[in-house]
Amino acid sequence: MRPVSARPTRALFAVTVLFCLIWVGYRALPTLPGRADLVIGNGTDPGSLHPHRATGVPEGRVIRALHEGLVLLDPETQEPLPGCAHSWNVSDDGLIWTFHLQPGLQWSNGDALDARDFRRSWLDLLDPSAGAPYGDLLESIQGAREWRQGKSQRDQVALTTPDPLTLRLKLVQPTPWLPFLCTQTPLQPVHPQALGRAGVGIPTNGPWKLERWDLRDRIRIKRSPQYRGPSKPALGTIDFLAVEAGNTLINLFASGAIDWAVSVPTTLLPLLKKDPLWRKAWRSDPYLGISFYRLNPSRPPLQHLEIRKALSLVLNREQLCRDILGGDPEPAWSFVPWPPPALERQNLKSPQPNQPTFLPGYSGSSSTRQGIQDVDRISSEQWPQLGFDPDQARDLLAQAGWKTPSSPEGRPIPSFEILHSTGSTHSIVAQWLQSTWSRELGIETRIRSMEWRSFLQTQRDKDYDVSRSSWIADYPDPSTFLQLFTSTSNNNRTGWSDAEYDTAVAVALTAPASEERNKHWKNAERILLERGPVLPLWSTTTTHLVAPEIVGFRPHPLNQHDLRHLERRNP
Amino acid sequence: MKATLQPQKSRWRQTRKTLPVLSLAWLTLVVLISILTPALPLEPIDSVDPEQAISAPSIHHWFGTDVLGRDLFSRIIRGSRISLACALAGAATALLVGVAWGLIAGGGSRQRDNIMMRFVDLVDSIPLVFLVILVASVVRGSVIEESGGGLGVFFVILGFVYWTPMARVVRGETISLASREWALAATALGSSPQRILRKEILPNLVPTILVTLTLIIPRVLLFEAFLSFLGLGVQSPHVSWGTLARDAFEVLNPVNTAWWLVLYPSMVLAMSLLALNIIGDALRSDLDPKDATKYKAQGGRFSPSSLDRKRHGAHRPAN
Amino acid sequence: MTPFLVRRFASATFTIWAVFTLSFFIIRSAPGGPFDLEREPAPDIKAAIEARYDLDLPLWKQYVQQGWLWLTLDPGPSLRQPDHDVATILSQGFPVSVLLGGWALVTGILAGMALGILSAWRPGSWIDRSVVLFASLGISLPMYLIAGLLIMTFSFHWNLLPPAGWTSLASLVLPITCLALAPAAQVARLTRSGLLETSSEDFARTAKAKGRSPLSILILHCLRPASIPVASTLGPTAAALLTGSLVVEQIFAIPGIGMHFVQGAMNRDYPLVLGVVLLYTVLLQVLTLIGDLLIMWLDPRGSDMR
Repeated sequence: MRPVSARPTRALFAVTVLFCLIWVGYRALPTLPGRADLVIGNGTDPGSLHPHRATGVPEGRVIRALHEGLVLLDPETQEPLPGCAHSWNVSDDGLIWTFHLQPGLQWSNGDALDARDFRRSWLDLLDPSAGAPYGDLLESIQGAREWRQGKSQRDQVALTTPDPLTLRLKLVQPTPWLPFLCTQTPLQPVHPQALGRAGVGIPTNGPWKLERWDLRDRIRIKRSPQYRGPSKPALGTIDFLAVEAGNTLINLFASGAIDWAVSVPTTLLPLLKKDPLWRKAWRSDPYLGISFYRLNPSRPPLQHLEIRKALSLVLNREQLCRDILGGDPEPAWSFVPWPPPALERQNLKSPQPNQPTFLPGYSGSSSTRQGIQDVDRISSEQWPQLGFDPDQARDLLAQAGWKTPSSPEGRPIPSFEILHSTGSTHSIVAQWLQSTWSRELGIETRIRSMEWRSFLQTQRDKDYDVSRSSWIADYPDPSTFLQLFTSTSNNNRTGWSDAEYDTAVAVALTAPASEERNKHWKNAERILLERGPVLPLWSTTTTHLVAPEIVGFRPHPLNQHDLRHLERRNP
Repeated sequence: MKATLQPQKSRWRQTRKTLPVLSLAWLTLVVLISILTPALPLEPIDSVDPEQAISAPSIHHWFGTDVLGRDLFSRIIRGSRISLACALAGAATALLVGVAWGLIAGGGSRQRDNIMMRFVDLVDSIPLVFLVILVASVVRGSVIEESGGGLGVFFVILGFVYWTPMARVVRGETISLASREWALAATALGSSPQRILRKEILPNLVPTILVTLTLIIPRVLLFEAFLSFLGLGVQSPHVSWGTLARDAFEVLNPVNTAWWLVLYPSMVLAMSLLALNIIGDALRSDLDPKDATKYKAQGGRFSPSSLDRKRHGAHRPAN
Repeated sequence: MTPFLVRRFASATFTIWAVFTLSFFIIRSAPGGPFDLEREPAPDIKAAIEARYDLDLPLWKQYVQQGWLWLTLDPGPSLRQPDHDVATILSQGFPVSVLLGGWALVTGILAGMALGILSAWRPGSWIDRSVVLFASLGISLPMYLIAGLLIMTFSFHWNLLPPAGWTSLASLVLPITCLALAPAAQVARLTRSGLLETSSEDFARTAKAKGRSPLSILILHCLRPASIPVASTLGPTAAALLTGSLVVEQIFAIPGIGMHFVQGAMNRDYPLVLGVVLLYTVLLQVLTLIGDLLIMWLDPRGSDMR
């Protein structure tokens, strides 16, 4: 043994290791110049901040702060307001749209911005070789679909700039929601230097510009001096924190490290709700989306219409929303969701019966602006609806000769599998379905949960019996929902096809007059509910926690809050 | 087999320590309850009672209820059954694959040993989590299923993961045992190497294997809990201690935590893992000639610290 | 020494290649792709984006291509975060994980050794028993539950430390504690049994005969040979700690690379997954070698490195 002589070496070694660690520590810890005016716990780290490549809500929140489209939305009424365009008009047939841009627009690096930038960006979005996931938003422009299908050229798309401040579009079908689309992330202008990437230093045209992007940690944006838009932002700097876990969001909010948490885990809803202070921070608003189950009509026993109907008739959506989902979402009795308008939800605990509700986005005031026609003010009153009637469900099955708790002599209903993607809410709902179907109809089911990508693949392969799904509107109009189940839709994923339904959708899409459109949409919805492969469950809600210092937070039907209107006030 | 176990048993009896005895009693209770689960008057597995959601422990619900109003006591007992099955699956894979691999590697030529242990190194070089996710997605679904495929996939994953520590330990012990006088004597007497491995060495490995098992099983259970955290664990309405641990984590919040949902599952899980550890420790120090707590002078048949070393050599946290 | 290093280098290269190959084919056999969305684009549009990343080539071509890209250390952009190269993602996240894991390793080893010495000093006493109990308790609950309980206690009950985030040194305390628990428990056990074993050897008895106190004998004479088992576990433990932990990073919102092992695989972000797996494997090889060299230094007698 030579114990003692080795000790200095060992100590030296230990000290070296320690110093290395401290050094790495100071290198790795970010040096931030103080707290931002607003810190948002933004959920998952954004995938891409490029408008053409982004897909998620966290990405959109950052992108809309960095960019400004032709149109902005009024935070109260969701009516279109001037953005980069000071005005726009539309031909009488609703097919030719002309946007007039503000003069003197600038990118954040000082470059001039005009209608040609919008044209180039939109054509890049449509470009089939770029593979932008939301390119189809502009497919109603003449020549766009042909180009995307390889039948024509880029310059044959009817998107022109008669002069640098005018952008003109020729459409193939009336698209009254076009101004709304202009507020969406994919239609934001992209600087020619971007070359398919976003990041610090790549010019944008919004009220803020990107200051730093620490991956999986925080994105900081800072007021852009070049911005001369109509609504000046009140906040100088904003941080978007990447927070993956729901519990962590709650912890950070409770400790005051973030001012705004973008979601609350369902399992925590009932616990947090009991606390009055938390109720104050609580913002639960309708989200124009539907949570539903797809039924695969090629699988036994779901090919039988009476079984599909019975499965739906025994589901008490009111109970699901109240007891299982923490009372936040609104029950959905049709595929196009009709949540009561946000204001009404806040003021009244329960929506008043017989009061017409409008598709959110067009609720509230009655004045319309340029381009938005009265057509879209559909009332939910005459909209087709599903019912809740377990007895009728059992009768239906008994008449068809199936075995139910009330008719034990029939032939037994084969069991099937409920597929959902991993997640505690999905799992709870699947269990609720399982126990309801078993109790009311005596149908035995198995539950299987799958990791997200495998789940998507399985659904695409139609390798399921019933599977969880959701659909969020691209714009506030029934067409964004009802186009889903045509036989040619990429997102049908059930194999269901119905000629009458296809016709109803096609007619509705091209109908010029609003009354007629609505008639056809109602017809399509009726067919879908009567024969279709869907089980609507609830219309989605967004749940946010917003600190009392932050004022100006208003509900947005697509969870796209405009940060321009937020302010920080010390109470 | 029996003949070689006998002296161990009697030695075990000599050391009456309360902690290991209590641990053993607790584990026996858990195993008994798991076996008897179907016969117990528990709440039905798919019962959901929203009106009773999150109620504190009472006479009706001894351990309270969870967010869906399910009785926690029933769930813990049901969970013990699946968790026990997972533990057994892990133990079985480690036994079948690990022991065989280690025995063959350690009892053969140096070249064979080299190749086989390189393979073990290779398996240990692939990050575990990554493997699990991919296996889970390739089989398209949960890793642990009670219905249908049984514990099949979980079994495969454990096979991937937990046989390597066992193989390392067994291989090291085999090498050291094979160089002992009695093994050399058997060779001199003309026994074939296979016969020596089977008849002489394997029985002497039993205590080592037992100790290693008490260390592998807790890891299997923690691993199951980790899978539940990722959402790849047991599918509801079935329940395991891992899913209960995840539920406990999910209700932890700074405002209003339902303490019973955290306390009881954690207690049951921690007590069981602790019991396994304590038994393992007792077993090891009992077999250890040099453990100063005993100062027993017994003929050293194996060295527990080398066991420690090799066992931990393959330590690979699941997360 | 040199032939030993050469042999180790060759075998490490082989292992790295084998892991790369295995990982490549395993992840490519998983269903679903990086550009799958619930709102599915038209098939030809999706094919276009896949072609942009060469995902339409035959698998073996992609394998060769990826292998070459990794040899040149320029694997290109991540598929989920196409604004960033995989190299950027790793070089931003790895120091974070090294910092956290390194601290956890150092605290774990130091605390574990101290506990081990304490318990071997008075074997059988209540100190010994409580150390053993702690060592078992530290590995008796899932890490996420321990993390949650620590946050509730230290951040909200006592208001001492931030519950999550990556802002100050204070925000590192809880995650480091979580990470250090398991290695501390393991080192404590190993040190204890190693000390008990060596303390009955001749040199320790001689020292005792010379009238040294039991504690100083343990620390001055027995600790060095007794830390051999600790050194032999160092490689794998350190590699696991330094490459981050999904649970800790998720709960404490820490921008390390541990999450990519799971998220990368879940998102089918092929280049990123290969990146973290390769990083882990290379690190494991290097650290195992360091561990072995450490053993040779601690125990010059047994230089059997087979």
